[in-house]
Amino acid sequence: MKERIAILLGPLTLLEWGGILLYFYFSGRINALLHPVFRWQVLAAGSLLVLCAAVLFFTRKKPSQCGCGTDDDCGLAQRSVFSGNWLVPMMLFLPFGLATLISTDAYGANILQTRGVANSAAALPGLSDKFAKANVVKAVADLEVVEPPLPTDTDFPSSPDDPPSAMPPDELVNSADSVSSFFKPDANGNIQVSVTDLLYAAEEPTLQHPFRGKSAEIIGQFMPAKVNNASGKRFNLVRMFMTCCAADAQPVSVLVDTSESGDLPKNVGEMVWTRVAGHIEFPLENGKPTAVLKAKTVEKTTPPEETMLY
Amino acid sequence: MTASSWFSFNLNDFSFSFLSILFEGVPFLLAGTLISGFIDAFLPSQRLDKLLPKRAGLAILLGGLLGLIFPMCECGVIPVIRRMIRKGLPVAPAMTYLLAAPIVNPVVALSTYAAFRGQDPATVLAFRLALGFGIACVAGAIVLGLPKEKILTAELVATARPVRKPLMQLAVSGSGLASNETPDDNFPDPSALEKAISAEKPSVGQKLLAALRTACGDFLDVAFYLVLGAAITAVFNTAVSREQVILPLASNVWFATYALTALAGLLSLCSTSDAFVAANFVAFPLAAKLAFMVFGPMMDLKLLFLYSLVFRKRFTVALAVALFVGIGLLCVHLASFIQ
Repeated sequence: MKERIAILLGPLTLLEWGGILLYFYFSGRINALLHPVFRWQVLAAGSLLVLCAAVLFFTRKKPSQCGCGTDDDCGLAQRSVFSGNWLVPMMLFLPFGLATLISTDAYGANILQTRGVANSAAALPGLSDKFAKANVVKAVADLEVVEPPLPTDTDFPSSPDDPPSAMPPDELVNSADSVSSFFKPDANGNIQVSVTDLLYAAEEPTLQHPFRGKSAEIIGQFMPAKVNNASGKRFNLVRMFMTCCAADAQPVSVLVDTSESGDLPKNVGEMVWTRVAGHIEFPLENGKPTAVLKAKTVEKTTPPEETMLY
Repeated sequence: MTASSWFSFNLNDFSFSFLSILFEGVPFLLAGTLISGFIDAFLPSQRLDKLLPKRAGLAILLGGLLGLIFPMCECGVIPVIRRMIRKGLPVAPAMTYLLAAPIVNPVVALSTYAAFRGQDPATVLAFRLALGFGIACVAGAIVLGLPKEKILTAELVATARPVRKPLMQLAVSGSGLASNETPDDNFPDPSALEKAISAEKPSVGQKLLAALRTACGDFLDVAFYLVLGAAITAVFNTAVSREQVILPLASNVWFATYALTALAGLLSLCSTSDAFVAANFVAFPLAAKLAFMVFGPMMDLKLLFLYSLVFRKRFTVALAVALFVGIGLLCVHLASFIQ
């Protein structure tokens, strides 16, 4: 009996693992787990594991029939999975399968406490302060932008009604205009922006121009604001910024101010997907420009196809 | 600091993180085991002997640079090394390749350069490669003086093909080998199995089948330890507060360096992408980030389990402690030069 089980456990384990990999790939659940660059590897590995399971199954031998008696031949694959105790097969079978069933493919609010929330582009994984600026320049590289000298605090308007005290040079205005061409208004007149778009813009004055005062729509996960919220009418929109896989995902957020639209949305729990429409401002808060979305409408929504930002 | 403030476990977060670590690691692990299977089926032991330099020092240096030609991440390299040792690769260059390959390879070099753009990437890259190569070579040289019975698992010692004489003499000098023995005396004939295989002259199809079967066995062996390591890593990854445990240590170079070294061990990130995470520790000195990027690919929670397929437990623990202390000290010392 044991011998029969031993022969079958190898192919079955490989089939389970390959099946789970392929299931995640074809169901789209892989999108929440891995950066797009790594997803094809899951397809390849899943296919190969299923192939290996088939090879092991159709070429299976009972160890007693084999006669080789060495690890390097047929005995190895069978002995590895079942060597007389149930620990190894259970460890190979259960955790992967159970995690597949339990996981909702998203982190809960707990992760914000353990990892902290980045509210600046400079704090995004892989983006130091300088790199953040380099990326901004790269984003408008086709516009032949010369990186401007960093403005002083007085260069930043505190609201869209306050004109900047020092307007950017013409070429930068042109660059910013060209950047704004990436953000076309939809049927409702809103441009679609992401949390990271606004974090980059808050870091780099020349990128604020295309956003400042514009009607915009943004999707994220609702979290009450615990700082910068004296009025009690603000909340955070949170997204996860992924470098490689969900294990390294870093929560990032922007502030939403509901003082124009009324009170905070009711019946929206922590980390519930929320769609906010409003206009963008970059007021000085704690001495640095901060992206704030002045909300007109706030509503629950379904998660986007790509729940992670890259 | 209360218990609840620095540790809060959530099953869903754990499962999500656990799955992502497995999904990232399994393809690389499978690639490693397939290479291992093909080495077993298609690379005769005698060919390996011819490829290796006869001088142990050269073999160690070559092991440290082999990742440039055969880039492997830390998960994939373990089944390959286990197979190579079985084929007769001496432990010293095997150890050097094992530790160096996840750092000294073009993929990691590119990702490190990209991650540190704007933070003097050439310097960071140069130090990372140099430290990775240097530490791996030193580890290889130390291992050279130890008998393999003290390093390798009993199962691997029993199944490993004996090392050819010149390297063996260096490795076990004073071990009682007769001075009149010629290298060939200690260079045994191929095993009975190899003789039988060569006598039957298996077809390419049979070799392919054998390679796949070996790869399957290796994969199942290593996957068990990957699951264990991924589970423990996922607990630390999701339940321990980095802001409360790690961040307060950033201002002191000693604390900062050892905090990031420990974090690298706990997070078990893949060496191909860990630089992107390291570059994000803005508050930490560069030396601490280097420690994170050098120690992590050589030793982490997941590897602690995976290494037990190759090394004895006592040796694995000693290696972990030596790497932790040594890399930390080196990076703290470097801090005054690379600020």
